[in-house]
Amino acid sequence: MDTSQLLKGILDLAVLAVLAEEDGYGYDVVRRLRAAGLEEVGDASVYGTLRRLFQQGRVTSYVVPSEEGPHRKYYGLNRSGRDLLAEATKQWDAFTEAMDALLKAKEAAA
Amino acid sequence: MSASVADTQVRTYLDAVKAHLDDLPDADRDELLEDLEEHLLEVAAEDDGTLEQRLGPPESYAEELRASAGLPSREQMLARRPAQRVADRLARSTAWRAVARMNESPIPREVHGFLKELGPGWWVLRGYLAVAVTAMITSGNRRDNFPFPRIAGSYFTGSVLTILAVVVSVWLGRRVRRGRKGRAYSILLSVAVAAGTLAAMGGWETGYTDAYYDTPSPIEAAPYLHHADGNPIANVCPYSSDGKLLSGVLLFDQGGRAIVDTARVTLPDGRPVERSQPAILNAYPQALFTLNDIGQPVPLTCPPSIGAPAGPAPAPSPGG
Repeated sequence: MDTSQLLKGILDLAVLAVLAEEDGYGYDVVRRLRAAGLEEVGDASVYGTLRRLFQQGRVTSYVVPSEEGPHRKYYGLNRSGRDLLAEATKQWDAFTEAMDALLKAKEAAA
Repeated sequence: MSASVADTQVRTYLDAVKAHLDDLPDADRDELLEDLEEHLLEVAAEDDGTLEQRLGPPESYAEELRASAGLPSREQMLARRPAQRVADRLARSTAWRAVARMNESPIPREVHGFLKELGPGWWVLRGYLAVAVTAMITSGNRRDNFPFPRIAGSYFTGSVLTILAVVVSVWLGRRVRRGRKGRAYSILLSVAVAAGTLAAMGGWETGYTDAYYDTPSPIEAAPYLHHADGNPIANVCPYSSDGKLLSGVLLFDQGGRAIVDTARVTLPDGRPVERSQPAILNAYPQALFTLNDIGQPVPLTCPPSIGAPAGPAPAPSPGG
């Protein structure tokens, strides 16, 4: 199956989880997602997701000047973002549990 | 890769992405582009193939960015435009023809004809008014919704809905004129929009009075937060029990609905009190300011601490 399709649905959760560890700028979030094993995550998708979460008031942002190159815009979770992460984590757990059971049942039948 | 080659590559890629976002409203586009240069420079610095090899063609980068940011695709945006162009052209050309024909035909037939020619213009106006008046009436706030209606707190949604409503209204009008079904709907829509416009215009005057002269108005007519005696509440200053000013306090009503409808007021000398658009609408206290004589913002802050609880006496506790 095309992993990128699966990724689309869970990118919000993945980005929130990364930011919950530590604030980060766009490319830093991309790197950390890849390091966590989500290799196929698209650069543009991560930047767009950060932008949307900011628009929705889930993350705050601040600019950190950089010596070489343009300034970096850091994003961090606010209260509302942490609430969303907690909520989405619950949904994810319920979802994976259901999927696991479904796939195991199929295995047992085979 | 040498620095100058990388720079040229970044510039070319950046321009191509920009071009692919040029149909978006300026604010949306600028926001998407904010982080882009930093991103491209970082990727280019990695020495791991060209930008296109790493990120794919700029067009698909732009599409991915729009989709994940929750904005319509370029295709969707461009598809909207012709519909609006057709509506505009229809209104212009028929009005022009009406004037032209007025010169050559007998008057009674022409009055009828003229009204008929005005139809398309009314269809366009009807679509716009349907959205604008709905926004004014539901929000109870006319100034924020004229001339551009704001739906669900967003001018973008408002504009999209306006365009859709105009298209639907023109479609309905043309359909009825061609003798198909839908006449009842068309009349109903016209009457509803006309009545809504009258209602919104009637409320206009009181709305202005409230906003500019700060007159306490009957409670049921005040479309914003106010005390029981009718005095408007422009800001909420929350304090901890030891009297220190809190910041970023989120307020909700008993049903979990965010409290955001603070009043617009003026200072005693008549200067309007402005508010900067907060990132979180129901976080208090809000940042209020007014402009001094030379147009500089002067913040109107809550007192940093309070000595004693406000009001005559603390309410007795339910247990005591």
